[in-house]
Amino acid sequence: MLPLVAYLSELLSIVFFLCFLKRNKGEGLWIIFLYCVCSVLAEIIGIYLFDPKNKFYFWAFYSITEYSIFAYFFYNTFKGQKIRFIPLIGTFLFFVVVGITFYNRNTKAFDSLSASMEALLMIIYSIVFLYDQISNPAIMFVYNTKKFWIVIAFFLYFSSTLFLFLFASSFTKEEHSSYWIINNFFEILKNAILSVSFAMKKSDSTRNPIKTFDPDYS
Amino acid sequence: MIILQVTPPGSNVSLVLYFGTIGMLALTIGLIVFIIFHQRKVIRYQLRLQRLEHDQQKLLLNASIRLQEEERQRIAADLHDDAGPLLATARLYLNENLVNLDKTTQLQSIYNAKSIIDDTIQLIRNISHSLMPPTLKNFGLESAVNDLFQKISGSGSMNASSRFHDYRERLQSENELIIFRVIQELVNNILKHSNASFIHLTQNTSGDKFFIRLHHDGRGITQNDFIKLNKSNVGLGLKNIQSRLKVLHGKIFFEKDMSQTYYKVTIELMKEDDDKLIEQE
Repeated sequence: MLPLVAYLSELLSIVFFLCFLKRNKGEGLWIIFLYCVCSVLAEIIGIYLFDPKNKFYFWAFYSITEYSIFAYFFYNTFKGQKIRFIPLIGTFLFFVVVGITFYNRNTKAFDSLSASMEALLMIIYSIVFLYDQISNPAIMFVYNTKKFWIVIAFFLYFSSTLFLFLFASSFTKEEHSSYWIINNFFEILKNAILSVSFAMKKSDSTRNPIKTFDPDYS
Repeated sequence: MIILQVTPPGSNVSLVLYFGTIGMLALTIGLIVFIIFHQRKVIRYQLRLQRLEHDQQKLLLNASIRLQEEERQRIAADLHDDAGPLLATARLYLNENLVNLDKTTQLQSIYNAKSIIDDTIQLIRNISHSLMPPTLKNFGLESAVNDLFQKISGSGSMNASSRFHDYRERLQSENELIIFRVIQELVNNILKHSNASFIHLTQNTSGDKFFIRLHHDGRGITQNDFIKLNKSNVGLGLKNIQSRLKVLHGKIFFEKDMSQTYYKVTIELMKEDDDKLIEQE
């Protein structure tokens, strides 16, 4: 039941994005929409893959695509020039790890190392994003922006599935089906938050009026 | 990561997995809650600062208005109490009955009226000079300050000297007037409150900055006192200094000398600001 709800929740975020297209225009959220589409397609294709080798390469390829989309999103979202280097360095590290995984491919169907690496990098980028937001408060309330909730959705998802991805390659079929509930649950949560963020109104009233404040009492 | 990966599947895995997931989730939620509350706290703090700044500006504005009113009252009092009676007396000498008087009395009356009118002219000239010193207008800040200090020294109560090290090019006349008023106010405060035996003023420039420093050996105030007085309802003159300097984007520092013997007041101005003002004009 839960996996089915998780699949349906993937569709929910796409529906919300298209329903509130006007609100999402000009916000740089097309890349997240692309991720949602890729995610749905990957879930569908994943059902029809049975060969472990094909499964491994497919999910590894999906991890690379997913990571690239997120890295691009974070690169565009970060305001500070210095902070923008972090996704670039992270991407280099990620591709090194993916290269090693491809070279040392085992018989397992799940690419645990690159998925965990991706999760870890996403957690780092999310923390950097939050730091960037509080150290450079261009908006009055950070939680009034769509991007904040998108990042929170991924932050929650990747931090709660990090350990699951770490152990995923060593799971037996029974263990996989029992533990994968964690992934399904947080996927639903992630898609619900994404849907809320897509439905949020654009708000110009959130701009910080204190931005130009200069307290000089000399 | 690799160490955990090679752990054989067993009972410990589920424990690590569950605790790890719960731990990460708790950390994430904690971080998000912290950021939201931290931002709210920062915004509240900034709003409080903004209110303080607003109150400060209100105080400065009130001080400036009060000072203007006082100045008007002083001029009105000078005109009413001095010029008024003088002109009334002159009018008495020049009344209609003058033609009926003998020649000597007529001449005496005209002479007296002329003398009173001369006094009135002198009085009005003094009022006018107090509004805009002619030395400042014609010869600039350096001459006006030297003139002021010579007058103070001439009174014999205090030794006052000034030295301009780098004032080859005059500032804009409005800026010179503002600086002169600030110096006047500072000197006035020193004369009134400090009990000093000397005042020494120096002017110099450093890079794109223009400095005026005043030293005296009396009782003075420090920067903390200045900030406190600026925030309180007293210290009208200091508020006036602050509001005048704000126009020039200048700063003022009150401190004790390195030797802890003298009080020092430093006025710091940007030379560029004058250029910008010239461009604006």
